[in-house]
Amino acid sequence: MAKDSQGNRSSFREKRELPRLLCTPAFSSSLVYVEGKEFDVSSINFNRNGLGIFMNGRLPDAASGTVSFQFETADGQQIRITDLPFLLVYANETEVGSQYGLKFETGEVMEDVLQALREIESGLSLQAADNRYDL
Amino acid sequence: MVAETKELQVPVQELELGMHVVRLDRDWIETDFLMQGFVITSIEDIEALQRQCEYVFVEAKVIQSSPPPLQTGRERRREKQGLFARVTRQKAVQASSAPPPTGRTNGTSAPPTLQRKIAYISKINVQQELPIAENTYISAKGTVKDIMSGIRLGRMIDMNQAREAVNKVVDSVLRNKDALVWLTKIKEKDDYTAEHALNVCILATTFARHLGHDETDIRKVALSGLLHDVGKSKIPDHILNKEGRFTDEEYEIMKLHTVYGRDLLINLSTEDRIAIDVAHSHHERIDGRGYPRQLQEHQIPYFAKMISLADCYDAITSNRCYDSGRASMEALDIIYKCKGTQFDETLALEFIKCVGIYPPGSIVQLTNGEVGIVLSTDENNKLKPKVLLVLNADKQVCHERVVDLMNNARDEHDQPYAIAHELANGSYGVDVRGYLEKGLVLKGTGDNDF
Repeated sequence: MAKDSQGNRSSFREKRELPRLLCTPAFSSSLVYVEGKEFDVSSINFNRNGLGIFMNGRLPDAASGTVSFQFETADGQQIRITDLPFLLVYANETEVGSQYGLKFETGEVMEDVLQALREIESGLSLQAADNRYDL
Repeated sequence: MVAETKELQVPVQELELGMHVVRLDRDWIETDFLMQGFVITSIEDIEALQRQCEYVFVEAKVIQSSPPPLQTGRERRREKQGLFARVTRQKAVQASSAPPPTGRTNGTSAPPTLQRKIAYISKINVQQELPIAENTYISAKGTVKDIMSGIRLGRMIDMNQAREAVNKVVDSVLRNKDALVWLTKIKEKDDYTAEHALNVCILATTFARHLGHDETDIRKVALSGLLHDVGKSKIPDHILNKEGRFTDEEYEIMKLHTVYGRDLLINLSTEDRIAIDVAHSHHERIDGRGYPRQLQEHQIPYFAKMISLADCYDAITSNRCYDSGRASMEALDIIYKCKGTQFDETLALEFIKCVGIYPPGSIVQLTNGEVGIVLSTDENNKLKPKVLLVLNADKQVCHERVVDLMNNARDEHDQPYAIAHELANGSYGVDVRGYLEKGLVLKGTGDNDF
């Protein structure tokens, strides 16, 4: 088993405080704005702290941007979050597409946005099927 | 309107000719049906089902109402003009839970042999196959390396050598579908290109078996998988093995591997020619936005659609020179979310079924923070496998013990064990290879893995 040079267990640390919930069909695709350009990307998984996205092609080489998305709750309410700042914390650009991890920069956003993020997370938890892919 | 293929539960009294039975209310093995899934073609079929079952599941197309319209360009521009993040709420116009825009399209492809689906049964158990599979893996990886380095030296591809490797892979997967797949989980970052070609070959072979293709087709899929990225041998090493981000120019050069692959394979004999199409088309997308030719869905060869799934899964889960691989579930999440846009929808769902949510050998973190290795999965409740606990909540080595989540096992705080999420192999130093070498026994994912 892997150990580092000090003989400790691998330096791997789970960086996410919360598991990412699979974005259900009620979660829209995301619009990502980086360096003045707009990208329509697939929303993969989400929690109140961040969003995993996947796209055909690549984002510009930038550390941050803003993201917009919407979510429909079980009672039919549309929650739309726009221009939420993020830091690009993970990038895996492959020939099959590019996978990115966005960490929301929530330090200066209004409380209603934070509340909406929590509501979306809660809504996704409720919508999550026992079987993750509903098979 | 969106048409989806779904399984419908039908009482046996309501069965009709032409229905495609995909599941029974009991294990197939408890019945006298030879095929696991078939189309009802006679009254005798219906009577046999009525004698042995109370209900069955049939495949049916379900039509759903249209999703709400996409945001208009004007709406998007208006949003972009805002300086700060904001949230808006509105009651949906339609009181339905119809999905917001995803650009999903209807997948129309189906396995060509759906009417003649073959249900394979593993002939030996996984522990018996594993040593043979290890030899197969090592030798096939050597073959891929030889092929790639030979091309760089200007040699022709030795198709006999490639076929020999493929036949060993197929034979192993037909004997037992799990042993080689486990070996694909052990990734060496320095050997990515060769390992990836072999892993795609193994995954595609297993997928073809899962879909019920006949053996001839399985060997074609396997060969196509092994050679799908052969064009990468024409990509300069400094790009292929670059640590860090590609420049736009380098990225475009990488994409050329599809064209190089076609050119390298163009002289293949008739029976192997599908490998040319796969090498050329495995990055095409259902929505027509793939490369190199932006083919439309109906123009993409069926085998290329299959290989693209194995390719994506292995690419996401593999260690690269610049990063470690992601967990299986992240790759499955991507495939699930990109079904109907990047991937054929029906095939994508079948691929996810084939891989499984927590296949044996997966490293999982439980909700209390403990970490374990999945030993076996119950077919009826795939979210509650048997898990070998190896790390405590502080991620320290603990006394190894097995908990069966199906039996509502509880932790030291009397809380029920549940899986929080899957971890990539190697997380917290837990490497499945080390446990296999120590003699860990993993149970297969079905068939007759006793």
